[in-house]
Amino acid sequence: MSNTQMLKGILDGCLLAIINEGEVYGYELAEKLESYGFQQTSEGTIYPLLIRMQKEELVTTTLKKSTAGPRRKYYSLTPKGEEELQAFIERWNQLSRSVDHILQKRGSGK
Amino acid sequence: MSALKHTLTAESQDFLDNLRLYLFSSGKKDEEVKEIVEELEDHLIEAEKRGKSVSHIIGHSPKAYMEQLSNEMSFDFKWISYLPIIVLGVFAYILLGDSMRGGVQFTLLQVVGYPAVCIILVLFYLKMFKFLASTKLSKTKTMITTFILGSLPILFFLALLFANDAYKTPVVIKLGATGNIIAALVAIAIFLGIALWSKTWFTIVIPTMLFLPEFLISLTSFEKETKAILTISVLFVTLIIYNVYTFKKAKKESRI
Repeated sequence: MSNTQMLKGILDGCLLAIINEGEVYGYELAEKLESYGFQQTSEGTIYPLLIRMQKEELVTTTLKKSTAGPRRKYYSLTPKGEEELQAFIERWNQLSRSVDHILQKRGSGK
Repeated sequence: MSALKHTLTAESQDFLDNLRLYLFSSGKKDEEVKEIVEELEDHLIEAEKRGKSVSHIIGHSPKAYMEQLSNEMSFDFKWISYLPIIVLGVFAYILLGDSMRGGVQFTLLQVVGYPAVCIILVLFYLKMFKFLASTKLSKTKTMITTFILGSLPILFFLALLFANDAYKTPVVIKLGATGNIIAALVAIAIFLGIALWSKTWFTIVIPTMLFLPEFLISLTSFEKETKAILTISVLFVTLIIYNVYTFKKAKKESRI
């Protein structure tokens, strides 16, 4: 299984978590994601996800003027987005515990 | 002091233009298209300032990335209403021309053929735009495709003209003197209506340019040949003036 396939779904949760830290715009979001170690995905991958999250009302956007170039779109979480983030954290913890378990068991079994 | 606007590399600009065309021909909502293009423009500007390449942002297949974006965006049903309006515009154009040149008369083949040709052309163009926006063609191939696309309407309408001569179908609409004046007025009303609806001057400027000189010349007492030559030369000159004007305007706007 390739890395990108494994990332699907997880990336959504990570975006929610980063937006939860405070209002961000697209480029900033991509950079933060990269700084946490997500280097292998192309930066643009976040936009289709952001469009969907906006449709699902997990995030809201505000347009602000930037010093140079076009208007900038800032993202922040809605209450529904915060709930989804909590749900993701729980799902992730459970999943990572299970995966850890399996991997450690195999490791110690040898 | 205003900050200097960063200019994008040709590759990035091309990608944005193609994305806009791709989403437009997929019938996506105007506002959503504008938003995502603007957002990606901002992203590309920031990325280029730091020396990143386009493929770093959109991955290695622009087409796949455009599709991903397109899949998340909603279809605008307003587009479906454009079809009848385009058909109506072409109909008004034919109606005005025919009524001026002495008589509106449509055969069954024409009544069915004109709208059919319009709809086929529009759907075909949308498909082709989408294809061209997401596929990189060589310069020669792009030129050939553009040429074929450009001549397609003429070919279709000529084919219809010949077919109409070759296969005699019954005349379903034939207007008398009063009918023709009414037809001309209806055509003008349609042009005005479309101009108001679309908030552009296009459907007023083009028909005026094409028909007004011909109409005025037909009122004069020149010889038939002189009239024909005058009509064509005036049309030629107005077309050149119009092209120069729109070109200059586009240039001015792109500079702002």
